Amino acid sequence: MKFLIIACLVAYAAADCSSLARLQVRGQWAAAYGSNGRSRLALGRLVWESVYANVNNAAGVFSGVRGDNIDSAVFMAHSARVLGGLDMCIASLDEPAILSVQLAHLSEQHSGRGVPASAYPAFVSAVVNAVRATIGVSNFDADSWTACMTEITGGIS
Amino acid sequence: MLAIYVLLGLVASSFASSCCTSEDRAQVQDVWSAVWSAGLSGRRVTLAQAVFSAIFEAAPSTRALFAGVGVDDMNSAAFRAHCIRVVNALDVSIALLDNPGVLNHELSHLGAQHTPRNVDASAFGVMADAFSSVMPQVSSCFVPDAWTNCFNRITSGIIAGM
Repeated sequence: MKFLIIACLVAYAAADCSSLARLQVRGQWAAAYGSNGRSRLALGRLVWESVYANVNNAAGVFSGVRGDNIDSAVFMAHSARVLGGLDMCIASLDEPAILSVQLAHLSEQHSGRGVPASAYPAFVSAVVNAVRATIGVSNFDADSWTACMTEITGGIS
Repeated sequence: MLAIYVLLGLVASSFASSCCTSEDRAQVQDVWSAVWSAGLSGRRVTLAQAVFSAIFEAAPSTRALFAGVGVDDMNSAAFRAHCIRVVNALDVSIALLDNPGVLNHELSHLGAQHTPRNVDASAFGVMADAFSSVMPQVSSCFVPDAWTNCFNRITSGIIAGM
């Protein structure tokens, strides 16, 4: 019985982007994103493969940045910008005032581009899976990641 | 004032002559990633605020360019968020120094973002000086020549895209 209560508490906590989840996500993102262009582009490639597999006409959404070829230099520069934007948001997860300015700025950059609503949850799971594949499964809490990523994309979409 | 012209002259001449070599790149990436803390935004804000303070001191007229992002209060969330965006763009560019083809596209994108804002090319020289004065204060192994060569590689790409 006690175990069930604890299990419920854990499940409840894990569904939220809690302070501890923010700490964990920030540290794990830093490890996955790193400071090296090559590894960042590799992380980005994992993200886009997954987005392309799950979003209809992703190539069309990114037609302005060579969405037809995710290995082109133009698309990779776009990938570097998206991951850079995500890096800013994750680094500010513990500073809500800055985060909300940043999300409003990103939201403006996304409006009118015809991004389908379904693309945001697809992007969230793509990032969660790409980070897990990059840093390994031990001590990786997909629920915390999904909750914090959804908070970020919720401010953009 | 004379000092600014002399500095601008030096920056302008280094645009033309000095290359960001692979050794320079490696040093700059090492120095930058040690200063830059990917897991924390506080350090990024501190660094960028110091850079902007140095810019505004050297070229007070540039301050007006940032009226739209809360420069009146450099501690406002709006200005701190702007600081993070600027330093983030530099971080993305430094990481891409090893991928010149991708870097060139990124720099022309940043150039296009500066075009409608009426930023004078010389402002990037002021910014270069500001970084060169701030970085040694936060980096334990700052290499001025390598930094200047690679910083100018980045800003000249942005200016070319303007």
